[in-house]
Amino acid sequence: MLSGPSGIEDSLISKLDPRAKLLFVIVATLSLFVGAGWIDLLVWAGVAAVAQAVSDIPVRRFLAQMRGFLWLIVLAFVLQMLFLARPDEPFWRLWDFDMLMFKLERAAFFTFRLFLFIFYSALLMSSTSPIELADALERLFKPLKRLKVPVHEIAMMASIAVRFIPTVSEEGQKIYKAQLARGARFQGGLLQRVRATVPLIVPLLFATVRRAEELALAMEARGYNSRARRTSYSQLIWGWRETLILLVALAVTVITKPMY
Amino acid sequence: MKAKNFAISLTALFTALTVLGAFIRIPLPLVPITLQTLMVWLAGYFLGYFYGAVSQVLYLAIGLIGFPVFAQGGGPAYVLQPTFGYLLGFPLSAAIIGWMMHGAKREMPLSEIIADLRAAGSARILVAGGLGMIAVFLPGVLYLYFAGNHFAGLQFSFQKALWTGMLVFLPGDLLKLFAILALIRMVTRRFDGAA
Repeated sequence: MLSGPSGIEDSLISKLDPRAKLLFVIVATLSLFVGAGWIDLLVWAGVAAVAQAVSDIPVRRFLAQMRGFLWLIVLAFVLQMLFLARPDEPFWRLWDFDMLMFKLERAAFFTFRLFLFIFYSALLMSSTSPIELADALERLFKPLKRLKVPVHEIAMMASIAVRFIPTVSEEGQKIYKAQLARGARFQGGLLQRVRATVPLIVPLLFATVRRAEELALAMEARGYNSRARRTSYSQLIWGWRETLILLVALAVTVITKPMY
Repeated sequence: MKAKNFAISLTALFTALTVLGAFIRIPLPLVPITLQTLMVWLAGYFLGYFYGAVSQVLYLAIGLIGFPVFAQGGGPAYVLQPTFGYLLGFPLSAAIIGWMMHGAKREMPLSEIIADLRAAGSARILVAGGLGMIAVFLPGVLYLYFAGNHFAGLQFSFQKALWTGMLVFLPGDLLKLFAILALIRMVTRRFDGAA
């Protein structure tokens, strides 16, 4: 059920520091959604084309990443064409040429913006593993430690959670089968189905609590202390390329915004 | 055993349970219900306000950075899904329930968690669950309304958001609420023999 996007190819983009990529996408998103017009969209589309060319990531991979959102894009376009109305005119006046143009323009704008946003996050996801991203987030949020935010504990919990998702779901399956074997009925009417969740959840909760105790003991046995300063195997390196792409993102934002 | 290590482990495991909940579906005529909100509420009942909220924030974070843990995948673009608001309600929901069950306590040993749950009357458990339910629906419906109007640029009425975003789910959630009461009673009884 769970594995991050696998087979991330070596390319200029996948070698970049994940922190820089993350910040780039955040800047791009804000720039696209806050007070954006056609010029922003076109410039960002240009940047996207360059990024796609540099990334060496096959278009096919992008499409796979974006597949879950294609329906959203199509739906947004269709609904806009059907229901968008200028305040002074009834929406059904499709034959009115001005009205039609207005609708087309707005629908195209919203759809295109949605597409770009999805493109940039697909680019991030297909060039960076979730582990790298988690790493990047932990480093980026490190300054929050000054404000007593337990950044390290959060990262620790996130990695335990990700590690145990397959285990927990396997356990759920086992319990389901065991209860079936004991004659539990998971079919039938609404009430019966809701009632059937009880013999599923109770042992699952019990097992979860037991596992948490074991884990806590194991952590203790290894002398785990969340307050201690820890070192990391993987190092993130910020070089001139990272600075460059961030500058590009900021420059695009700064240049396009004053035009309105 | 350090209470902190136990809290860290249990929190992370409830995050994993929330993921599992999204994929257990009970098919119903109109809208299928999932066990996900059930897991969110249980996180509140068992972890208290602080770690309950943390477990759900972790769930959102893991999903947003790209692990496919949401019902329809994951990744930052998920914020565009009109149903993202419900996910935003999860931490709030767990926090409210946790507060009603355990007050301001943070790290608790297992015995204390069970003792608090056993001491709580049925009414308190149900009210906590009800508030937790509202805490999911409220941001959910508002987001649906906002997403419909802003991301997609539609004229989408609030009544419509309320209907498609809440009323159709209400029967299933009310049932789950009563299932919660039975669950908590059974779990505390089972821990009596073991804890």
